[in-house]
Amino acid sequence: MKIKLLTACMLCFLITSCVDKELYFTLISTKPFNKQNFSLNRPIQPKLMDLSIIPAPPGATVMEHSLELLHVGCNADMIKNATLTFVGSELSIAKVTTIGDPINTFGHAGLAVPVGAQPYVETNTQVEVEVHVKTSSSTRSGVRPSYKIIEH
Amino acid sequence: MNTAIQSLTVIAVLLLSSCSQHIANFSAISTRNVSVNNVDLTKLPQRKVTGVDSIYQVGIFFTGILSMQDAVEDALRKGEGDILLDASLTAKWYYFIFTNVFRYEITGTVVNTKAANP
Repeated sequence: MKIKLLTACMLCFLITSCVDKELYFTLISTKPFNKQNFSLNRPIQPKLMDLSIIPAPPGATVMEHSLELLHVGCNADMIKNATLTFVGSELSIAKVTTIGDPINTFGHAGLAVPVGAQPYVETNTQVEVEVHVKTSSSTRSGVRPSYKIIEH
Repeated sequence: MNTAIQSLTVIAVLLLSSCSQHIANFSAISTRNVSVNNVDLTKLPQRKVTGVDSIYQVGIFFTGILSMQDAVEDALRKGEGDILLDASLTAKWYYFIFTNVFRYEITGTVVNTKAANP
């Protein structure tokens, strides 16, 4: 009886720890931005480049990598109204999805699609990036993540 | 006797251990509504703070759900501001005998942009 109860509790814990966790931030950035003349009224119309050609920053965690893709792919240095969805347990993140409005606090425009890269259709304001990772911890261990861009 | 002491020491170390994992570094992060235009953040009053969100595990029961968002909110509340700059987020686990503590800690500089636009 005790073993059955313990097994049921462990199953409940595993199931609840594996459901999607959604976080919302009004502002989030991993890049240097314009602190001297900070303004949030500088949205950009991003033209996404093929994110698979963007290398993972050395030593970056999954969360940092997900944000890096949004930053580099859109020439943004800050993401407004960002929703980060984690799939997996606390200790083994399987996927991070970041949705948000990219802005460039220096007032730069969105990136043009680079020659030779796979072009994607221009998006409106929101961009969603999914990073799939196959590791046992939230820090990658030599497995290259795959990418998918979802238009809005 | 020595073997018993050594074994007890090893068991005690294992039962009272802790570990931490770096999650991410942010140049800016916020959960508050921010509406600013042409503000110099470096000239605003700044406070270095650490925001924490913890849950406890007693046996197989947990006292809540751990959230990075709550750690950021705690830091902003402590610093009485609305943006956390140059923040570092870390997950920590402390293991005690039958009680474990899971915690997110975020350390950074809080600024209050409303001070610039009162």
